[in-house]
Amino acid sequence: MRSLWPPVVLAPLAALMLAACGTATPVMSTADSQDDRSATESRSEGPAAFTRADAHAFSAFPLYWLGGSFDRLPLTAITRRNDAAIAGQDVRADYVGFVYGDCVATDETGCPPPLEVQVWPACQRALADYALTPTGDPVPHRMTRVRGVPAASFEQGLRLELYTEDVTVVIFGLVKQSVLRAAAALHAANGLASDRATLPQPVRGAMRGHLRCAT
Amino acid sequence: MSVRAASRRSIGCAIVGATLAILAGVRAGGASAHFQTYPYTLTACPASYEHQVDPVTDVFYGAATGARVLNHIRFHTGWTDAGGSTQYFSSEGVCGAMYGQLASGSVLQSRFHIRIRRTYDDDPVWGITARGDAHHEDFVWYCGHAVDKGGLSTGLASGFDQGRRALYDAFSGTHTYGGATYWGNTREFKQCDGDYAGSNGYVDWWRIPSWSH
Repeated sequence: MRSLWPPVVLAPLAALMLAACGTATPVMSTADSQDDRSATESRSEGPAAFTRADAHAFSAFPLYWLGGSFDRLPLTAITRRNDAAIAGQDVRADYVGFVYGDCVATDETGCPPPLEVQVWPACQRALADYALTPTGDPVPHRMTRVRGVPAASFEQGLRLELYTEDVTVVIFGLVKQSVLRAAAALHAANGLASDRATLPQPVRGAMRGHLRCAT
Repeated sequence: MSVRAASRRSIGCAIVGATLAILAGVRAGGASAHFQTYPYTLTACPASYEHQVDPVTDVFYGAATGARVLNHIRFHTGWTDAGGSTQYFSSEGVCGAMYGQLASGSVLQSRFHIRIRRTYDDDPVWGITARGDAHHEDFVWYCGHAVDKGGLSTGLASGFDQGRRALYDAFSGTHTYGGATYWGNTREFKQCDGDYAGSNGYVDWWRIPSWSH
């Protein structure tokens, strides 16, 4: 959000207002963001915000999530990025993110929510896209199988990627066990995804980054 | 062979052996010291999930000491403000506070901002490396700085992608561009205004020469 007023003027005014009101509670509190309404609405930013209904009706690629809550963590936000392509970058940010649980962010200090599931089309993000250095050194990871499909574990198991059909499902978690439980609990968020215990195998070329996105 | 001759020989062998051992150690250390880093900055050490704050967006290589990186960023971007909170970086399991930071505005303004720390080990190919978390952050009157979220509702790239781009624009034509590598460090971070901001997962590589402006 960008203010129309110079911050040097607004900051002291804001401090005065808060003092006069006898409260320092920010507009959006942690408690507010944990209730089910905010989980459904994601963020109250008008018609462009991505909602649970939007996720159910989403038809661009299969979506997987953990439902309205997971491990006592409520669904607190649904994010949607669909950036424009950038020259020199093969991977375009194009995903739906399901955020579970909350954390307390402060000035200059964002915080990682306890769990997030991001679903990307494999034509944008695939294992073959990763490189640590420009000479192609690999980003450290360990290959495994989860729910019957190839998976890669990054960041000491706190990031797990499942490659199924034509999507890459990325799980970010607080502890490795929670990430694995989340992988086991993934289920369909829209009609294109599968609810079977064994997920569909990745389509030919998906993991090698050979898929082309429909324009 | 006399006792003295045997003694001289054993001393000579010990010196040669020790020298070879030292050389082998140096070589082994150099060969094993490949670039490695934790892909996020931290609120505190050690590196752990709950301490993560910003994704790393840029790597500087060549002769990228902390001081030199800040010198070149200051010169090419005009970012001169050094105000902001301290964050930490980790590599090779060694975690430490940033070397410094630069921003395009004060702590009471919306601004571009980057924190820098040299990587623990040098790399045989990339030399002295450092990492940065370039981003654009809005000054929000009720809570302070929040990184722009970007995404569907704004039609813009996130604040992390904007920061990387601003550095790209400033360095292009004056610094060797090593390329963009995809790390996938796309975890989204809740900001103090309630929005979620994340990188698109790319890291730009910039060569820093051995001289300063």
